[in-house]
Amino acid sequence: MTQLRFLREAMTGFLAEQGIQALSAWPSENRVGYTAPVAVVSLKGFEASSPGFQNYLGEYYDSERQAWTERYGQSVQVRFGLSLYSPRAAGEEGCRNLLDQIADAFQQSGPAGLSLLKWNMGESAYDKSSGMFLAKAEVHCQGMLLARCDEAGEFLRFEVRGGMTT
Amino acid sequence: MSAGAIFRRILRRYGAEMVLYRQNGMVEGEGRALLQAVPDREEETIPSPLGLRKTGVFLCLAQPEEEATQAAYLSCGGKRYTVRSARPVRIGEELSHWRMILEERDEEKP
Repeated sequence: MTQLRFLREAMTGFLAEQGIQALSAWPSENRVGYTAPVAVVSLKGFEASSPGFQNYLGEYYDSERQAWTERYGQSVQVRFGLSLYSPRAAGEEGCRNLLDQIADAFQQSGPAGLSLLKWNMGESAYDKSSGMFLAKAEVHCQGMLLARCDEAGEFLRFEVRGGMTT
Repeated sequence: MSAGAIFRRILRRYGAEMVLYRQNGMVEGEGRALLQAVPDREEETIPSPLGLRKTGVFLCLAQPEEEATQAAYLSCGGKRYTVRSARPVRIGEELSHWRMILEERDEEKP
């Protein structure tokens, strides 16, 4: 079982930890009328590629099992979409203020298990369907999808973990 | 009897209490109005990135005293609505009533 399905929640959780009102896109609950700007997190793209021969990343000492364990993995790139909604009362300025908060948060860290590569934002405009101002941002992150292998050669589980430093 | 007076009598008998609010939340006016759902083929709620969005549209006829051009929201029968459009209806020179198109508002989140 991989932890890919938690990626979007990882970004939403990270923004919420930084004091930014955030939610994962397309919730099944009824929409609420927001009185303050809110960031909506979606997953726009995901790419996994091999970092080396047969995805082999070498051995590491597993202190829990007290054994040397082989590590396999793939390099992954994740593209998050951030839709920044600002209620009419807060105006377009609400989108820009929210972006400032997000920029501050990304200066310090990023979502758990991922390193931030780059991010960008388009212009904000009034969105008729939501009745709010809307600005769209994109965040590119990188990580490793790691698999542990036991003595029998069976993969135990996959996790998204950190970025590779060179 | 003037057109405005006739409409006021209809509202006294068949209308419901309503309050009009400005964008900043200040009360714009209070009075009575007739509210009727506008039938639509669309589903009642459709998914949106922010959650299920209500699509219900209502027609509202309000008494002529209520200057509704500045109104942003309306509450009636315990429900809140967004004023999509508001225009005065005149019979000859005389203002008969206000005609508004409303959308049901989402529950507020602080």
